[in-house]
Amino acid sequence: MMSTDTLVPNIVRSENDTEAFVTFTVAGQLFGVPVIRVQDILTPDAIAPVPGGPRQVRGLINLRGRIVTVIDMRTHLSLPKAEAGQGGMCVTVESRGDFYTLFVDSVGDVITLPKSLREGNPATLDAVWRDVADAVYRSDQGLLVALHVDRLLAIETKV
Amino acid sequence: MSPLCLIVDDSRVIRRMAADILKGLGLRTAEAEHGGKAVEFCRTTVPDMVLLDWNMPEMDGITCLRELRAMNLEPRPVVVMCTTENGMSKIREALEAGADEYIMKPYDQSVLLDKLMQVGLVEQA
Amino acid sequence: MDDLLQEFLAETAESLAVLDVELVRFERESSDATILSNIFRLMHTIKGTCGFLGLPRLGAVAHAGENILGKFRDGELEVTPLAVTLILKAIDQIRVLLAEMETTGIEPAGSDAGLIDEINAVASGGAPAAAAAPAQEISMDGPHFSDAGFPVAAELLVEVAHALKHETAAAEPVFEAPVAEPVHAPEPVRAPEAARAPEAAATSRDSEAKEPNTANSSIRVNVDVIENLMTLISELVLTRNQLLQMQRGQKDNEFKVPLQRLSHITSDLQDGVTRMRMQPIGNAWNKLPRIVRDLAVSTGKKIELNMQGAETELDRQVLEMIKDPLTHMVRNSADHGIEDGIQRLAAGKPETGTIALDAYHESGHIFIRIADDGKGLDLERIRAKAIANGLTTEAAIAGMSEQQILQFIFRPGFSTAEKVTSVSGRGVGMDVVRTNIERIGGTIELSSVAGKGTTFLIKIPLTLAIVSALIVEANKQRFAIPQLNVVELVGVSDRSEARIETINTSPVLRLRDRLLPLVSLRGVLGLEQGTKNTDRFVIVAHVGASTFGIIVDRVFDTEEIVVKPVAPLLRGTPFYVGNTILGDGSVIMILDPNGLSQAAGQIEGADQAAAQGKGGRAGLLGGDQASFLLFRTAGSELKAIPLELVARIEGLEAASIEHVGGRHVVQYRDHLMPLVPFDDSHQWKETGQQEILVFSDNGRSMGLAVDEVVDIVRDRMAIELNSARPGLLGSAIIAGKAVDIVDIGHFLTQAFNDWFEITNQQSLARHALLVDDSPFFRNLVAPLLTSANWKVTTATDGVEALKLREAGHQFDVIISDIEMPNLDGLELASAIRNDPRWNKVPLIALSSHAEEGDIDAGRQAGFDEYLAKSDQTRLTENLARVLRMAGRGETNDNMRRAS
Repeated sequence: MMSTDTLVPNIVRSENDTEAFVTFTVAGQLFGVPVIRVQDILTPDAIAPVPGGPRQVRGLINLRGRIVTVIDMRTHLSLPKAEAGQGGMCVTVESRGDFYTLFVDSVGDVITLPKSLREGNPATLDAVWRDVADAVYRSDQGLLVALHVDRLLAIETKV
Repeated sequence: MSPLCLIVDDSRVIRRMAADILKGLGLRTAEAEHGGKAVEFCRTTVPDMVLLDWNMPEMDGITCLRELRAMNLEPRPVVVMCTTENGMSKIREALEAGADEYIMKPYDQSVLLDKLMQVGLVEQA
Repeated sequence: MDDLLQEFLAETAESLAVLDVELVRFERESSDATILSNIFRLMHTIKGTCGFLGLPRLGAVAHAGENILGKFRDGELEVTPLAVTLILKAIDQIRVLLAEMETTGIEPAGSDAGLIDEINAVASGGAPAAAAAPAQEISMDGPHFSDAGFPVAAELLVEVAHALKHETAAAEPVFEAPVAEPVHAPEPVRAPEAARAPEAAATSRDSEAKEPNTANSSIRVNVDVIENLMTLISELVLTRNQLLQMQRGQKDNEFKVPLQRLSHITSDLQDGVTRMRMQPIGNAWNKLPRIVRDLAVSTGKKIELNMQGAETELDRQVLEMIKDPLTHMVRNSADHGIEDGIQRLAAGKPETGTIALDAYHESGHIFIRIADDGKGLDLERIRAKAIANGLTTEAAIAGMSEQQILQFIFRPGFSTAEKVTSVSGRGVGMDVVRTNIERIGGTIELSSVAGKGTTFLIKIPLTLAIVSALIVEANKQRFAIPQLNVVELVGVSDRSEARIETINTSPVLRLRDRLLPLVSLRGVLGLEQGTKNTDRFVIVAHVGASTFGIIVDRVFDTEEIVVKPVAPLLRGTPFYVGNTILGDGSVIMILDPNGLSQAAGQIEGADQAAAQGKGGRAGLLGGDQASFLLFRTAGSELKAIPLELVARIEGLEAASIEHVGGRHVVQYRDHLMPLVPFDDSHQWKETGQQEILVFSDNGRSMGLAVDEVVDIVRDRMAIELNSARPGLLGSAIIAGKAVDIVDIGHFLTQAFNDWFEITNQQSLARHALLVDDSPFFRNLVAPLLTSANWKVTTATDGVEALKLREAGHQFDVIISDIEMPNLDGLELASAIRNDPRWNKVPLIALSSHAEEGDIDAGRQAGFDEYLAKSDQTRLTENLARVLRMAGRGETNDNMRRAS
């Protein structure tokens, strides 16, 4: 049911009754995005801030010659701010032709979950999350919120 | 120096094919995509022969022919008119306007070679 | 696949594209014989080349098409939609066959007898095809069609056999670059696409096909080659910059001159390659007439497509990206916008609907307008759909303006529920359109009037290019400012001449005779305040007609950067025009001075409904903004004066103002400065500070006494002139308030009634001698001199000039032509240098010949400076520069050293 693979986002599980996710944690909550949507995972080097920009844009990074927007997931999902000096990791995804990298607390394993464990969004899910969540999974690491990448990045900017 | 043939046709494919054939027969070639360009060319360089198509934009073959003859180029270039219409009236019009020969499109190397021998630009080896 | 076949595919595809457009035109203007003969010739040529290449199936279809066209030409057949549709079918079929040939390399087997019969049937007015055939034979090619194909020479057969043997490389669009011809005007660039499947729009690589030596001035070049070239040139530019940088610190050495040349050549190369990428937008449009025509026919509507500005050029990459959005929008207009004939007539509109495309350049951008006179966007439907798709709520939408509601069509998720008609395609949606446009750094605006029509206005950057930018720093973060906007750099500290001052919290810079409004970069971007009293820099920036300064912490170098458009999430931020990656890999934002100044000012946003166009092109660009100083005097009404006229604002000790001979004056700096009140009602301060506005020119100053300096604001200059009161020009609304605009000239002449005259007299001290035998040039240069406040004496040649010397005249500068009769410029220069009387006078050569050799000869003969007559703009500049130096009395030795 779950396999603890090493981080190789390009592998696609082809069975129809499971879904593979790259998992990460933001403010204690476990999230996942479909493996096929993840371009790469990296430790951010130098993030150039964008003064005057939307709050959830942590800045921009140079990814192999391409300028990629860094989305601070805590801000984006209205989660509490991080402790000073806390680092993070970046999960790069592509949406509608543009590249974004999600700044999260830490990145976990790639896990495969059977769709049988999938549940619709519980009523208790925060309104903002409901927009961006595709489904919720019961995994043995806890509740995993599976994010819908395009909806996640279509959200209105926070001023 | 080998004779210079000016190829006048609006299709670059046909110009190229003609040029290939003529070069293969040892002639030098130049190209013009319509009658106007051909006339311009002849102002500075007098070719030995003009392979002139009929249907072209800007200036068509028959008009170009008349202009070229009016220019009284020295030495007088041989003009071979290309045509797909073999209605006699058209060909007569061309000959009366000063064309020396006509040739049917599509032509091939042997046909063109015949013409060239006819007009004396190529001799039997 | 062999070259020749490749060439054929490309050429024929081009012809078909033109045929599409022309045929649709012809259908509308069927009496136009020129269009018809053009169409006929194109079809005829296609048929002819098929003959040469031994492509009987293609040839047969072309022949059928030519048939009908021939009938049109001879007046034997009426131009009906049916007939035109059949010709279009023939064109489409040829495209299909070509597409197959591209992949397989051979003409597909099979026959198009059905289509051909259909066409021939119509051509002969319904007579059975068999009967028509004999009549046609006479006009057929000499060698008859045979099943075995045309007779082809052995060599040609071999070529075709080669073609058959090769596995395919797909024939791809070939990029055509116009080659600049010195003698002839460049040929128009032809449509660059070879046909794939009719609707395929993907960019693909090209194979090479070199154009033979023709009088045609275009050549076809592989797209990859161009891209490589561009990359190499970019690297060359950056390396050139490094070299220049290294050279800058050095003294003159043997590298300087070659490096200059290298620099010029590199710039020219850059220009040249950039121009190579430019293509006319018509290339993206050429499929549209056919699309609209087909849509019209299938929906039974009457639609006319007008296209203007097809020759407007834009970068190839940009063109590729807007092609699809444009097509989509035009389809939408035709399908959903334009009503059918009956509805239109009922609405009082002409039966035929119009879709108008208009493209033009302005301010470094391309504008494309797509307007239709259809029924406009249905606000109610948009409202309902937005709510239904969960994009908003009843409550939220109730508070929205019309424009805000219209914007919903651009949202992702809006169009998913839209009815997908087979006609307008996959229901792609305006959100994708906007994304595509914004991805290249463009914008799209929309306006719509119910019942009248809809207009889209697209604005896209001219090129995705390299620009020069100044790198600056604020709060330890670096930014780039386009060099284009930068006028000068001023270092500001406690010790410097230039100082930053504050007027009612607005910082201004005293710079020479001007007061410059300032914007703090830290402030505008919301960064921490810097520590006071540290050294700063002010970037004097130019936006439209107005100038202002940007305060930054540090200034680095100028660098060439590649402008990348900002990410979607950052588009709402007004301060940035793009971002880039510097040589060290760091990402920095590129500032938009316009955005900065607007953010700092108090301007209300312009209504985006200016997308309506109608001569309102300027409406979409910023209006002219200027800074105004607001003050009060002689009454409580606010008065204003353009800030750039004011030299300084002073608070003078009342006690220091003296009343002399009916006028007020004050000891100011080292002279007596007259003070002028606005009018007699002015209350001069007895004690405390009297505020005055100081105006300076040419070393003289005067002060205008005011009661109170209120503020500095930026706003558009829209003054209503009504000079009823002396001292006022008129009135204006500035920052929402009604103010009187002061006529400063009135007060200047009150202070010095010869203010405007003495300016000239003063420089009577400067006297120039102009020697030139051409009355034309004397008349050209003399006014340039007098406008720079020089007195001018002219002489027609060297001999006359020397006569003036004999007569004892003295001059501050002598400007002479070289080619003159009697005594030419070189001889004159020698004569002058070898005689004590004019020996020290600066000598400037003005000549039509400015080759290196001439310049050397001039210098040898004694000229200090050598200017070319032909270059008008440089002439004025250089003359001004040299005259300034001469006016300052610098000896010719100094000038020699300086040049």
